[in-house]
Amino acid sequence: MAKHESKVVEELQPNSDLLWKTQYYEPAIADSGERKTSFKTQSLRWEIKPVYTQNDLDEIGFDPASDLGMPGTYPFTRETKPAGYRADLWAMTQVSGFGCAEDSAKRWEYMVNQGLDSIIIEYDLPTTNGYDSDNPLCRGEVGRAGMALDTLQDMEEALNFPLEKLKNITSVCNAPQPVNLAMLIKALQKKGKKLEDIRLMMPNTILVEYTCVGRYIYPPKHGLRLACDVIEYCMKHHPNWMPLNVVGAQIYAARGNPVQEIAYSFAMARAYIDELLARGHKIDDVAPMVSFITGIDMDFFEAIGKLRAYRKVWARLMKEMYGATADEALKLRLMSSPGTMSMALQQPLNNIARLGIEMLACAIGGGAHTINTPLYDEAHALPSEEAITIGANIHHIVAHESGVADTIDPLAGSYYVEYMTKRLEDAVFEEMAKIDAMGGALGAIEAGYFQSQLAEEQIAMNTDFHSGERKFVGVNYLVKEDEKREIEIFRHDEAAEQRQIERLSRVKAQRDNSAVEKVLEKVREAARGSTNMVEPMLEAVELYATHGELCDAMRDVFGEHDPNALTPTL
Amino acid sequence: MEQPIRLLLAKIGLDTHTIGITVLAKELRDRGIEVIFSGLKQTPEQVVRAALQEDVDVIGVSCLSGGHMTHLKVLAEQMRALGIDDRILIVGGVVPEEDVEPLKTIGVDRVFTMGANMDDIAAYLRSAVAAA
Amino acid sequence: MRKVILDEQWQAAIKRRDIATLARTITAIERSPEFLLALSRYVFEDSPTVSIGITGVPGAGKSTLLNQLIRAYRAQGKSVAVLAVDPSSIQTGGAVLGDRLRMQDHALDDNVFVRSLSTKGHLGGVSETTFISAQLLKYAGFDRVFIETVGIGQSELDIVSVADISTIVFIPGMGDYVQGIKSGIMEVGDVFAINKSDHEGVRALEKVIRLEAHDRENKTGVSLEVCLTNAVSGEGVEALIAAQDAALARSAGQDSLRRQRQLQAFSRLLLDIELREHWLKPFVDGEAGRRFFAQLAEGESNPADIISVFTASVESRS
Repeated sequence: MAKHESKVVEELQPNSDLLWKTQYYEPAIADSGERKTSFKTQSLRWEIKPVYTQNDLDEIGFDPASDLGMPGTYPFTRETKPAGYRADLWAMTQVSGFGCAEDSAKRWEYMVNQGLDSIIIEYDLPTTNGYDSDNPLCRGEVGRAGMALDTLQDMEEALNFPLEKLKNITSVCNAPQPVNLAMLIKALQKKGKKLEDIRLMMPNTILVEYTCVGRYIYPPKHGLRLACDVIEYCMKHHPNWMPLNVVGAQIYAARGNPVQEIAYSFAMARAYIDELLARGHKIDDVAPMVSFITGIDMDFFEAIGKLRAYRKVWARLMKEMYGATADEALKLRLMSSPGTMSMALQQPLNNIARLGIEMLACAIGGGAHTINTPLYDEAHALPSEEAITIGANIHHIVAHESGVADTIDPLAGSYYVEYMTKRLEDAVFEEMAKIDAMGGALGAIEAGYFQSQLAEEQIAMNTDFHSGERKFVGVNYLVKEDEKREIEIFRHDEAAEQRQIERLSRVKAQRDNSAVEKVLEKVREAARGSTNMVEPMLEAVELYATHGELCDAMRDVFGEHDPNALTPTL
Repeated sequence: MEQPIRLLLAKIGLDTHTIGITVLAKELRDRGIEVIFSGLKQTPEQVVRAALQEDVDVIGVSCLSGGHMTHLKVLAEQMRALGIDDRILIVGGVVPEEDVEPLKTIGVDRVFTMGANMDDIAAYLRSAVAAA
Repeated sequence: MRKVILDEQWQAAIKRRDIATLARTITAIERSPEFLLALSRYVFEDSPTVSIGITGVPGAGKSTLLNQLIRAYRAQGKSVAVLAVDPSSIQTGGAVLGDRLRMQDHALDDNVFVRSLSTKGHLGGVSETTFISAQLLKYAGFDRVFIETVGIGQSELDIVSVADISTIVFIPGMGDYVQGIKSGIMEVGDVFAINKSDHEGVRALEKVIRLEAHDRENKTGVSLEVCLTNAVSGEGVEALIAAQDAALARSAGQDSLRRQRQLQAFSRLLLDIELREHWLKPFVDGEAGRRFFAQLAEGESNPADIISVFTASVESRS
């Protein structure tokens, strides 16, 4: 021992990496090797060295002055907010929504009571695909994967819970976003709320739908127009809202690796930005409307590097490619979300540990105004009340017990973290250049590039799980034979569908049908022209034109996107 | 060469997560199955008609929305109506344990949940088709 | 396997285009060489000129175009059958047959029959049994029988001996490719469709293809049709149908020649299958074959010896 210590002092000075390797490391593993023949990061499969030093940073040209800056200063690698989480903690949120409006309202109230201060409203598939609940295509799906929504009346009832306790509300309804925005605005107004007191977020992320989720209605060019109408409307009337959240978390959920997630998300963001610039807006006004939602998986350092690279690449992209100068345009707006895909079906309580680790990465990586947790029963069903409570508590345990939120970007200067961040940054720029060459996100989607790359990634991951290269406790490692589920799960109320259909027919019976006919024609007229589609929707929802009718009116003009058109060629 | 099993793979209902099902198709191809991919947003009627024309040994339905009970009831009825209820019917997706027996009563031969091992699926298909 | 018996009942079912019977018959063709041989005695009795090959590079939009063609022919009241061929995996024999998903609009239509086939390891753009399956569909009385080949390069030309005419689908960006091949697919097409007509570079490609077509017309005296299509919007599909119908009428005029070629190719196939199933396989899997390969592995015999070993085994059989 004493001999080694003296060596450190005397010999390991100028060429320390090499000396350490030959004199310490290699002898240590000479006899029985290491646990694995090679160590790799989880999703990028980058080789991991036994130790990182200044030499690694020199090799990739890391320069602390230009690569890091300070929190709140360009390029925002260390944080976008100068005081990080010392001023305000992240908004704590979960995704929820099921059954009819009153079922969801009750659930959201419960969530607020568990210490959450934001909600993400999820609608059922009939709603997100632009159908009313009584459409025969929707049998079995009404109120199942989210809340059923047909008319303004549903929205009014859905918002019957203590809204004032919320920092923000996110409404996930991408393809019919103008209809949904109009319903939200009208419902809030009817409740006498001041719109400036509410912070509304909409993913409005239709390009992700064409890529991997599939909840689209119209062909891409019309989808893009509607998304930009929503952004433009909010820019003008509700500048504190966040009308575009590119959901990189869905690219992650389709098994995109961090480079793919960031590069595809930014390429998609650029499609909306370019459209808005073409409409005559300025980058310093448009960029602050753009936000992102990222998915954070189990590899701790990949995750932290990803969060830091996200901020830095965005700042550089806005500055170098778009010439943005306003701080708000250069600062990335981000919601982070521990990974739905890391939640195992087997031994679901293990997921609580996974959530803790991923939440810790989110808090240390920083930069998120909101963090959304999936729940330990994610792979089984919609969340149970118990899962919701534990999910809320994980936020608070990380925020208040771990101490990670008390200093900003605490891992800066770590050789490995800086190496990871910089490598990710370089790889993302390389991937973005490739997408540019395909004509940007729309070109890449149409060519099936995103889809086929994600499919390849899923196959590689399946192989990693199958070979045991990647261990997943309870799934391919330490498996319990004949496992029976030990947790209580949420059960769907089969009667909700009928209740919702009856509700819809009551509203239809009471409204002024000829006024509805007229306003639907107005919607078609607007769709044919270039009016902002949110405007006619505001009038239409107040007359109780239904969600499905309004989506159909646009179908009449835009046509429908063929669900199989963008399926990757096999 | 041994004649490959013919499997019709479809997504039923409004759930359209595209990529997982294309990956499943490729993985089964790599295990010697002939996979006919009939696409997304399919109604049970469309799936069964496609199965009849393709004369498949197996119908595989993916459903992630939770609406599997409703859709599969209709699908199994249609299979009977067209006289192809002798084919193997398998379901993949988010299916809670409680639903497995009721699905079998309807006529589903086997349920695979998310993350099922591809080799297990292929082995099941071989033994089920051989026994049919 | 679900049995198919070639009796009068079967014949009646095929003639009324009973979907289940057609479907099972095609499976039996693929799975049983004996059935294939037996069926050949039935389906050639009358054979109108109605089969159209659709071929072109991967990603040309063949299936999407075919979906539009089905729609248009259906609007004319014509019944349509499609054999959609995709490649099988050489390693596993498995396949992903994905053409159907672009044609599922017609799944509930009794007058549209779509069947996906794998190449079963066969090169040439179609499977060995595609021709007889197409013949069955003609025999059943479909007004049009389409055969969609796998995405082709320039050497996969079996479609000529399988279909009565062929339509080759091009897409913008292929100009250099077309100029690079003076033979191959440009020599076998009857109709050239330039798809994705809304994409950049379509005029340049059209010029190249018209030049090639003109060149061939001069050499052969047969006129060729060139159409612009947009499979997504359906534009140009009516013109494509007119071009195909004209080519079919022309082909019917030279029926006997094309017919002879098709029948010769099919006879050779039957012979190939017979040799493979009844002579090669029994030898390779049998004692003489196994002994030879064991000796080969031990270095006790030369690959060339297989001929004399095989000949000896055939002689001992007769």
